[in-house]
Amino acid sequence: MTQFTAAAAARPPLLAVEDLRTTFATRVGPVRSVDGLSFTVNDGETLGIVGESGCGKSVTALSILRLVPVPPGRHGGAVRYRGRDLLALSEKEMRSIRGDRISMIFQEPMTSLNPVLSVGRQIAECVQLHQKLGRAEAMERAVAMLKLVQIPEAERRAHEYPHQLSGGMRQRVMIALALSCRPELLIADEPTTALDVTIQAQILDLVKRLQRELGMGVIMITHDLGVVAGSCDRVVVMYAGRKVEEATVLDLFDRPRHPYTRALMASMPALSTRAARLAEIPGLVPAPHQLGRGCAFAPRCAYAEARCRVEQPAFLVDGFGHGAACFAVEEGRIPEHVPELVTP
Amino acid sequence: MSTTPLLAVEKLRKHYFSPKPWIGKGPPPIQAVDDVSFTVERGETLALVGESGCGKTTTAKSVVRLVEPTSGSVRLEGEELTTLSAERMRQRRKDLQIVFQDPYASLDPRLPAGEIVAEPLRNFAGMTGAERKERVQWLFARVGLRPESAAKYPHEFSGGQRQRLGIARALALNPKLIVCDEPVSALDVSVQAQVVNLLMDLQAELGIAYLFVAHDLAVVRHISHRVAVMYLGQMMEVADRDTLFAAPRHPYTEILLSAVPVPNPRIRPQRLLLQGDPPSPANPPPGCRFHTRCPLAQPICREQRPPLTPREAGAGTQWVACHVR
Repeated sequence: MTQFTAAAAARPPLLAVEDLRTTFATRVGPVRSVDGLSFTVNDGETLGIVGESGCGKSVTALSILRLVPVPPGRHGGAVRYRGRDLLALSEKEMRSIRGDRISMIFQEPMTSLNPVLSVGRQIAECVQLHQKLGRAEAMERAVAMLKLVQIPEAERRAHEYPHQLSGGMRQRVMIALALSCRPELLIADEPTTALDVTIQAQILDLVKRLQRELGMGVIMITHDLGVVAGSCDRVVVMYAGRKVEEATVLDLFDRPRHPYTRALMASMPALSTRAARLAEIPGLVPAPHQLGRGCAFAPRCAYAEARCRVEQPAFLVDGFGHGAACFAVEEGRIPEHVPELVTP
Repeated sequence: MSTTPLLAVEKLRKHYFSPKPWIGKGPPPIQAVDDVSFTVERGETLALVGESGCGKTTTAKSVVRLVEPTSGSVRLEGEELTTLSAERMRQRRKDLQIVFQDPYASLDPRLPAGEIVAEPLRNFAGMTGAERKERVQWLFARVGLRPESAAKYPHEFSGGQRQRLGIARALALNPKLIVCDEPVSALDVSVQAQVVNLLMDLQAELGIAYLFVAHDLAVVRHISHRVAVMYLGQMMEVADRDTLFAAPRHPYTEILLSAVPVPNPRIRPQRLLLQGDPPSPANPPPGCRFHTRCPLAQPICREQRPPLTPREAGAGTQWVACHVR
């Protein structure tokens, strides 16, 4: 997807997250929600972050935009946007980036839109603030954005309030709002989880089309491997706050390495294949304050040995950029994954 | 075995009326379910699928009379439920249980888990304390909960365990039919598989029938024998699972299936994108309810509502409500 030219290689990447650690002070002591996470996002690329609830994927998104309240939150590591560490910026500098260069769409559009402002006004406000446009011009841009996200009768809808719109329409307003200043990076946190499948298809299609038109990078946070397969170039799999695997989308689905990734794929019922019984992952996702010393997946892992319970595996990457953090993978204890034949 | 189906729903209607204003006409009623018929056989899983607002949950709740239907009939083993007295209905509920979507909201937070599961036994079974205790222990073991966790309260369980608790409560009286209203949609993928497997094991072992309401078509394909597709309060298509997924006939079913993301990056599905949003059930379009968004709509679709009629299909009969297909 990304094409490297000499100029692009010299320029720092769009976003480089380095050893990000987000900790929260709680009654039971500090809880590490994100623990040593690193990844990069290039221009025009879609990076997927997959994991189950509590794996730290949403906290990662909020940490990038510095939306985690500090305290009780605390950040470590670096989030470099074009080489500048966002974690070191002042709040004022951060505000000029948030919503302008990097913006975000949330899972629940009803709670993230302002209920007492018309949707056109909300978009115009953002444009006025960041792009220094006049009120009338900003409103024009707002209507144009609503048209871009295919809201019918955009002029009329711009004067309506969030409660007057359907769920799919609200999510499209969120997207219009997020894209109104032409950001370089869009973070989409479960953008379609609250929506029906036919609406989900519309929204994912729309994000992809706008990405092509605007050339922005996208971080797609989701728990749905179907969404990952359909819209991402590269994927980071998270478990209990850590990155357990990273690969291109094709590598991940053809040759998943980490036992967690494999188990997740096996436990998903598919439309196209039908096993007699779904593969279960025994046990539960551990709570972040109950993590032991070793690999967090070890208690549920079929390949876990004594070492896995006491030592943290390092994240090792091969020559193709496919990496995993697992002793069993490292020691070659896991048989090569044989992909199931999937017929469309 | 008799030929009466376990559950027969006929011409079920549920309209919600707003209170009449002082002057003038009130807003039109919301036609949540409008003329829906289907049957569930013994030991069978019928899935009711459709998007939010299509009336699938209202249909399921009408079956157990948590919602009183406006008209139509619901028969359990031939006995009409909609006109039963409160006391007789209470007795009938032994055979007819429900598992809810939200395991957080459907368990009494002030009762220990053991009491939650024992409550139906206390109400109906006429067991001694010791018998009841034994039965609760068996139920806990059967749904994969540790018997000693009977003393814990709902908030001490995880989401998946709470759903197991809800299933244990529904199983307590050996029901013939369990209505499952989105039982796994609030759960994580890895836990979802555990609950789906449990439901299938229980069916194989105890011969329970499920009316399984869901929007996740991959789960539906896995668990059900037959599938009924609803749109805007009406039934669009009913067929056995394999026919429906391999050869959907109704244009809406086809679009719905094509919208499901495929977990395989090599397959770029030809999505049939549906334009716009569904119309309001307070003011449904005339004729076929899907015609406003249907790519195949003909003039007749705007005027006449197509009845659900049988078509020949490989494994069985496929019922479709469409003028064109």
